Amino acid sequence: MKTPLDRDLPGGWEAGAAEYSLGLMPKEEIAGFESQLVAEPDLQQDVAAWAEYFACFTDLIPEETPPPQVLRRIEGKVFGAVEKAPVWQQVLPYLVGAVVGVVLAWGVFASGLLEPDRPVLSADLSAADGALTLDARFDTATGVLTVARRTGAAADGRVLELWLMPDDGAPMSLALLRSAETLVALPPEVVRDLSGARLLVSEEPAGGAPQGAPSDGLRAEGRLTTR
Amino acid sequence: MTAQEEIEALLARVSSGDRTAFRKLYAATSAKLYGIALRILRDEALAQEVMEEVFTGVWERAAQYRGALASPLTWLVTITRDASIARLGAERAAGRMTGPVEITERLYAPRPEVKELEGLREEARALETCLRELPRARADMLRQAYLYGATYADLARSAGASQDSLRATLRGDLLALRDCLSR
Repeated sequence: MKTPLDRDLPGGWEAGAAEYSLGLMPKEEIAGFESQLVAEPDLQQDVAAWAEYFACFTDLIPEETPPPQVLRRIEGKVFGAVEKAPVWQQVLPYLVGAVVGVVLAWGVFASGLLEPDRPVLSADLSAADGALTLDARFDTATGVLTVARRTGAAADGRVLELWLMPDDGAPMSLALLRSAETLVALPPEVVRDLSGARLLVSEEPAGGAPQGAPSDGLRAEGRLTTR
Repeated sequence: MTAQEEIEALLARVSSGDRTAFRKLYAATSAKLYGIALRILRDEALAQEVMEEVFTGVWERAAQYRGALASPLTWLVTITRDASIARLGAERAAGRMTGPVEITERLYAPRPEVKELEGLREEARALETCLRELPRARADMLRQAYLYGATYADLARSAGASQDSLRATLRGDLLALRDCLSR
């Protein structure tokens, strides 16, 4: 199944494989090429070889270390989602081995793992004008802080950023609050001392605070307390 | 264990939900991938969002790497490149960023100097050597397509050629490049 273009242009599918790998193939031809690709191992080999060669274009690009909040945000997304897994999945690793299983069942109850959504610490975040309000819940069993927006939002093209404000020391960016609910997996060193901790939400440019500290656009704040 | 084998082993562990492996994979590859996203997008906030997208995807789809034909780092580089180019396209479509032609005028697609070729790995050296058998302007078009998402329309406009004749010419070049690389 050749399209008219493949007949008229030199190179047929072989040249198509290179165009595809290079991102030059016109959008309307991609579906046709991909259905051919599925059926032809030789073509797959070609595309893989081109991918390998063209990736060399990036070899001379200098490496840049991403700022630490990038990994924090990624972990908040991926591990946060895992923490919401059903209870049996969280408990499963503890049930390996029938003998110790009995002993560990007690441990599981004691650590509160069977009630993963039970908030241990929580905070209402708001500001004097009341335009933006959020709930924060921290589950000590999973180490996950869940922040849900109740009212208000960031202005167009801006983003809300959540901060932990230690009594002494620099503010720590925890997450960008892009959706109505955000899960943040907190690092263990932070988790230790969260009771009474002050949380702050600021409004920042789309990618988050450029200086690594909250700008003047304070939108809401509150303290985590035991309820 | 080579770096490639290590990345492959980490990907296999990530696919079974190993968080330590995920952090190690991030530590081993994020500087390379962030460098690429930053070079393509020229914007830290956008490049950081691409990194989030790439690594979230890696966590969810690491298993797809198994059986892939490309090397594991190439797989990651390709995902990052594609995500960055897609983002660049979206920013351009929304009028928030200039087109690739303007970008390349400001920041010319880098062609390694002859003396740099020796330091490159085998595939990169073969590619650069074979690209030198093409007219320089057309070899640079291939670079611009990969690194800046230039389309045939973009390239034809800046070369003052018709899109169809440029495409026919470049497809011929790609076949010549393929012949050279398989020698």
